[in-house]
Amino acid sequence: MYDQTMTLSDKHCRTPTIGTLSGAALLGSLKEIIQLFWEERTITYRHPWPESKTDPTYESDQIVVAIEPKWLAKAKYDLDRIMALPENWDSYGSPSIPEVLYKNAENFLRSLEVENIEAPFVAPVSGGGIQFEWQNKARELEIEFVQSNVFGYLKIIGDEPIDEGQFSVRDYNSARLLIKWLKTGQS
Amino acid sequence: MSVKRKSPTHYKEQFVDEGESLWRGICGFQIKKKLDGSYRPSSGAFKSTDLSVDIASKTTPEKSIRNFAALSGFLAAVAIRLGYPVVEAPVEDNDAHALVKGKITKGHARKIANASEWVVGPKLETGN
Repeated sequence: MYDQTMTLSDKHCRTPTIGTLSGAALLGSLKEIIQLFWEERTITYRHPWPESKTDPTYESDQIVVAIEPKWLAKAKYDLDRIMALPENWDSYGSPSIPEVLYKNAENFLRSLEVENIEAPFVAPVSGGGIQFEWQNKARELEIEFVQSNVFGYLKIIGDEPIDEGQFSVRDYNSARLLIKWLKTGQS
Repeated sequence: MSVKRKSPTHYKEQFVDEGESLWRGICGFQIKKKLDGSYRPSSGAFKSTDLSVDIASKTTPEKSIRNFAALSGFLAAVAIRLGYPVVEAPVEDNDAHALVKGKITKGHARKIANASEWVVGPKLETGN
């Protein structure tokens, strides 16, 4: 479980790159302190907000620590393994996974970054696609990426498929609703 | 529109009986560990248009396993009753080859996966 005490927004965050913090910057005057608890890690960083553009510390304060939940890191690792599969990886003539499907799948995962979920089972789909599978007790959710502009879903209860369909790859709200169904049973 | 068939020496289509067992090779990445510790094939292994399978009565597990991590089997009746005819489609090095005709949907792929059993089970820790 993690507790994000403050929502990150443009007001509070700079560019998400890894940078260095000088001792002076840490001890400098503070405008804001943000504490982020992620899984069992606690990351504290200060974001000195410059008084003006002439502030001499403006250019030297590069903050940022990229934080990823464990489940997302694992899912991306598994996704990268799938992407390395060669042509005819299943001996039935399936091609390698197209880059566009990888990007769609990665974006889908990222849209769920703040969700408290387990890492999905990541599998290649015969014919050249990607599939995520989650299970929460009797409920299962399969998400497939086989077309470039949509993702498909399949809801399962007690091993029985009950509903399937597809959404635009940009419909991240539907992605979150599917995860909500998986977690709570509510649509 | 009628389809002109090729001569019998080049083309043969015969429907496979419901009672036949069909074997499908499973890639290691498509084997999922269940909550009870056993393994099942991912439905992704059965999502295809014209799914390639082997007719069990025309081959052996040793021949069909080839380079696959495991071999799963299901009755032709499962596919046929879902609306997918199964036809013999022998190829150069495989007389047992057949096709489950049609584009298998997400739900049907899962039903086929659920109905399948291991002919040659996964031997090592596989999948994710």
